[in-house]
Amino acid sequence: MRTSSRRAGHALSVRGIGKAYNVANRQATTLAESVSDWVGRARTGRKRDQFWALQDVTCDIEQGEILGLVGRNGAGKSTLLKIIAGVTAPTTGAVDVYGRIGSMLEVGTGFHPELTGRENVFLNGAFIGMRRAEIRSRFDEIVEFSGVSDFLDVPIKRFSSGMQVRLAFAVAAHLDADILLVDEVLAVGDQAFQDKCLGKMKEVRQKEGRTVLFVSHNLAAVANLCTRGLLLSGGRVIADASASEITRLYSAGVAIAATTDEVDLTPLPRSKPAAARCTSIRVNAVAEDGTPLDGITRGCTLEVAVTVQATDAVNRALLGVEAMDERGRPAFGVSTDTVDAWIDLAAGDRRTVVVRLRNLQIRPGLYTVGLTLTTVTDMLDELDAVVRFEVTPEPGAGYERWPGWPAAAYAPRFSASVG
Amino acid sequence: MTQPAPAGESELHLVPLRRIRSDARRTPLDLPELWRYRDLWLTLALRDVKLRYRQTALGIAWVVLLPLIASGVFTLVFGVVAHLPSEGNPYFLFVFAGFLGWTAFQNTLQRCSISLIGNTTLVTKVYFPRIMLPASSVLASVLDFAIGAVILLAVLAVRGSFPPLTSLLLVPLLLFLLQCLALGMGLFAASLTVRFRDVTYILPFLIQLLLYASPVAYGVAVVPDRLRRFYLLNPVAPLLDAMRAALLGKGDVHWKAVGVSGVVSLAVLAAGTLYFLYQDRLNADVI
Repeated sequence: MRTSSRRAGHALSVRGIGKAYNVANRQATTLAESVSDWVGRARTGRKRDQFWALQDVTCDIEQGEILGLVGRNGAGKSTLLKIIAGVTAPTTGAVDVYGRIGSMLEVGTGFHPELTGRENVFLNGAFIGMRRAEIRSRFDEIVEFSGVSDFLDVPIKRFSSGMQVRLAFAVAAHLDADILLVDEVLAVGDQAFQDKCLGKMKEVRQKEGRTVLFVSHNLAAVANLCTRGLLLSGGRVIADASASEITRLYSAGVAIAATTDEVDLTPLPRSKPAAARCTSIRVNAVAEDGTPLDGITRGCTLEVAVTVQATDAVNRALLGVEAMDERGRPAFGVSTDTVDAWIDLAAGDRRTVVVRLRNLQIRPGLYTVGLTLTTVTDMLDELDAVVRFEVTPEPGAGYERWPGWPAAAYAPRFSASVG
Repeated sequence: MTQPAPAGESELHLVPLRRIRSDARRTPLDLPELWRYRDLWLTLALRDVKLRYRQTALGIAWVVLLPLIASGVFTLVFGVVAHLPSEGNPYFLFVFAGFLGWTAFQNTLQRCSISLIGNTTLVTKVYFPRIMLPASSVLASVLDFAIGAVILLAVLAVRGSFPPLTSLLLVPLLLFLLQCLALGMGLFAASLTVRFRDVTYILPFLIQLLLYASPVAYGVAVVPDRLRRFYLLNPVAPLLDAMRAALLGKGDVHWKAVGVSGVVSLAVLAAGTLYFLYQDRLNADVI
């Protein structure tokens, strides 16, 4: 590689990266399956069914940038990070890495439950490529940052997940990596610690000029922290722009058209199997008696009907519905547990949960809806921006999408029924 | 970039430190990188050593107890009941010396084979040279061997039959070759286990067979002459036989067979490494 041919300060050069997976149910895991698989393919001459998790991703990342990767579940964000980290090999394309990469690990990864906190600091550090001497010299700093100094000699299996994530983050934040990969690690941990982590990441960049690749569903953090964003959808980069522009595009749901028709949610990729999930959604305005109305206006009753399908029995699940405005600010959010509506499902059950929001007080504009289906213990389904709806100005209003309308999340009065 | 850092590590990199290519057929054997990660090897190996007997009542004593019990049983069956010869040693010590080499071989092979599937989250989430996982199993085996050998030598010293130093000098060399063989086979087993869990069932069975096909519970001398050449084709056999002779300071060493075994061991290690690196690219997707 000739050094004169590129600008000084590249951290990563990603060219035409693609990643195909064989569809899960065709993956042979025993010898017998592998043989029958092979025989089957030889007979029919058919290629395995492939799923492209990532296609044709190209971008250059400069040193010192904090790049936010934004997209729905299954958009390919984590796959991209894994390829850059070298965990999994790309199917097409190439990446040149100019510097030492450090990955911030998911909670618990790289920790051994039986080892003490102290031993795990060394283990975790070693996995991300730190030398023992390096860890030893920064040990006090790491412990102080994590705030778990009283528990250093306790096996980590006795730590709460919050304490674990604090320790894991503390180790990674003190790694002398040129490029830091951060994948959704901040989902755990309380607000104060999250703020501390975000502050640390900013400081790392400003002081030491490190590059950070940051995956998060926390749009506020992306907008606040990142210097640039990539919006991924269906494994492709659909926008490469400033972080605030990316979060705006994402929450406006650029990939989705506004509709009051029923939207099928089954094709959306999920990160893990669960006992139940949302299979369809419909958002529209209704009259007092429940008949659908054309158009959604301020003050109307908004009906969100979500079909839930279970493969295993689920007890006392709740459905959360939230709406974001075009700039990624929450407009409202409701959860069925607050009106004491619970979803009980036997294996194979399909039920429709209807949430009715009365006297909707949000300004005219475009909104995206996100769904959360969860029990007290298990997250069943979590979907961002599944459908977009438009609130049109009411007849006779003297403005259209008046920009001065205050953005504020509010708790609308609502009722829910499980049918 | 003003921050003080080890030379070259935080400087502007003008040449890519790493190139990731879709058309590469295998993970490159990057020796400088392995060297950079040497502390990971040590940390993983120490983790194995520390964890093995944590939350056990007898702790480290198991390292000695298991071969002692096994030697006792084999002494009873092969020495007392079957009256097999033991080249002029008490049968128990004869078997125990054989067991030390065998345990070092077997432990490495077994730990290697599950080293990838036992660390699934790491393999799918973190980058590090994967070969460190199987390779780290060697240290624990070597430590166990050292503890057992010290006890054996202490007993021999008390009995007044301490082996000559020249024969003891062979011990590290033979241990090295045994570990190369076990690691080589373990690298095959580890990669295969990722794809075919069948291996986890077959391997213990094969190891059991190999134990009886190797001079552990009995000596090479009881193998009929016309079969001995074939017997010694098992690469573990000459090494274990020589290891016992070296530890006890008594007995014939089949030098030619040891030489062939040594070459085979190194070749198996090289082939295992290569196979591992070829399979490595897809491990994270298949595991």
